[in-house]
Amino acid sequence: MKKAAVLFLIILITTPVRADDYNKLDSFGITEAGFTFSDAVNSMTDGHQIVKANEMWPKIYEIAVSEINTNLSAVSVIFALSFLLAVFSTSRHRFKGGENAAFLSVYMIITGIITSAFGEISKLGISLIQNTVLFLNSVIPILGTAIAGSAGAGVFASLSPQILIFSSLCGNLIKSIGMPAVYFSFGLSLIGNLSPHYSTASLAKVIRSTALWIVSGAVTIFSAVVSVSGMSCSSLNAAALKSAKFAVSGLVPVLGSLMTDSIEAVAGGAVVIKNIIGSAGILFIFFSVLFPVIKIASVIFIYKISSALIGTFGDKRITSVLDNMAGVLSAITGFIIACSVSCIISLSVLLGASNLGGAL
Amino acid sequence: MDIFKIVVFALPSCLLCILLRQYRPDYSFAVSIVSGIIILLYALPALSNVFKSIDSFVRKANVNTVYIKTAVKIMGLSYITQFSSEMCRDAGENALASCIEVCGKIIMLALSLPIAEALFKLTEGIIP
Amino acid sequence: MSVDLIFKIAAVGIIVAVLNQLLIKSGRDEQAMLTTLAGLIVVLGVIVREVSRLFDTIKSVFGL
Repeated sequence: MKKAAVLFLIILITTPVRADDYNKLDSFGITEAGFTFSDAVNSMTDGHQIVKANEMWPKIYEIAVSEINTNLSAVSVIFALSFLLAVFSTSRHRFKGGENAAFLSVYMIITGIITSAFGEISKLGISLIQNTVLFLNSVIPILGTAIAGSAGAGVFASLSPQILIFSSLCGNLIKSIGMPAVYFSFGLSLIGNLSPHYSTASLAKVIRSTALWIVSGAVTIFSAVVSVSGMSCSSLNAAALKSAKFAVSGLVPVLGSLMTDSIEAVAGGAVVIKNIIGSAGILFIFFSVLFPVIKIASVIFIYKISSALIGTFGDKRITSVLDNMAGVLSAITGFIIACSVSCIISLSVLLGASNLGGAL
Repeated sequence: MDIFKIVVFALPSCLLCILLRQYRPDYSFAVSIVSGIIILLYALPALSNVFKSIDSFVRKANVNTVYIKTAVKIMGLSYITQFSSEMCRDAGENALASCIEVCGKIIMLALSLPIAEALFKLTEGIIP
Repeated sequence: MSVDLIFKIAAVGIIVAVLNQLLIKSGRDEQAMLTTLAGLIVVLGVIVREVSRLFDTIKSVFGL
């Protein structure tokens, strides 16, 4: 116990939380809500709200509408082409080969339009997931210095490796299993619609949902593990602080009691700073993920509606292609949400576990 | 109601075809060709407005207009091939009809090759 | 819609049929064949004119 107390004193004196440490996180850029990470930290220290709920709703609406407008022109081209196809193909299917040839040329153009939209969104998704994992990996060391200032070194040492391993596991899982499965299912759905007799749409759907199940299962297991180890660690904190106080008041001859009180104050202040940094991190992750997800959701909405509308007059194969596109995009959204939820859960568990649970 | 005009025109010409078939079947074939062409000529100019508006969509959507024009060409080609092959079948020439069909398919495939090439180039760029 | 074109062709067809029967009945087979051919040529001219009109319209509508 004495050794732990001495260690704690040394750490306390030698590692202050430097203000430029979390300015480094500004390299993660401004979220579309309009604040960088240090803005969030500063606003919480000052006490005013950086994000007002009333301002957020109009912004969300604006982003969704602009995304819908951008994609609407592409979808209207698809509409016009399938309408023309329906006009020019007569109902007496004696000319099977030629009708198929006309359909193929229209289908290729539609495939080109859809593939370019899908490529943009999948690149956005991959970069978002990588950014979130990177952000988490950079916030945790900074949190570590703050936690050390409040005697939580034991908690941090036991919890953070798990968090780091599991979050990078999540990111790698999505990159190595999730994204290739999504690409494969997308390509399969495009190719399978070439022949009018059989389609690979169901196979594509199965691959997509399997990938989503695997990723969400991994995230659930990870959250459970982290929460349980967080709960079992919180008692270390209070014990360490109490023992440090008694050690100090016993060791130091004259100023022992003074130092005891100042240790309490420093530890309390450090807890406040750690909470601020942690919650700023959670806020940042949430808002940097929210707006891209809304964009992708509006694209999914457009494609679902157009697939339903084209289904009334057009070829069934075009309907199934648009349907699969919407399904694939929602799988990508599922990955993004799973990754960000796992990061938020791990941050909050870390914050909760390293609070002083009643030592003061 | 232009469809009434078309129906009122088409039914008597059918009647004439049947009438002439007993005496001179070649003239009945001529009547059916010409009446089919006149009906098409009546409806086609309305299509040019549709194509103009599709052009404006395509320009807004940043898709290369060449592809859309080629697709429209292919669709028109498929319809002409179908029309003429059915005419030949009506006249009893099934072999000639299938020759027209094969020729039409070949031309349509040849026309759609540039679109296929552009699609492959696009797909190469997507896969990381 | 030029309905008269159809009636013209039908009329030519009926006239040719009637003339054919008459000439064959009265024994002038070569002249019967000549009238048939003449009728065919007239009708062919009409058909070719209409078909070329159709193709011109298609070219202008589809922008080929």
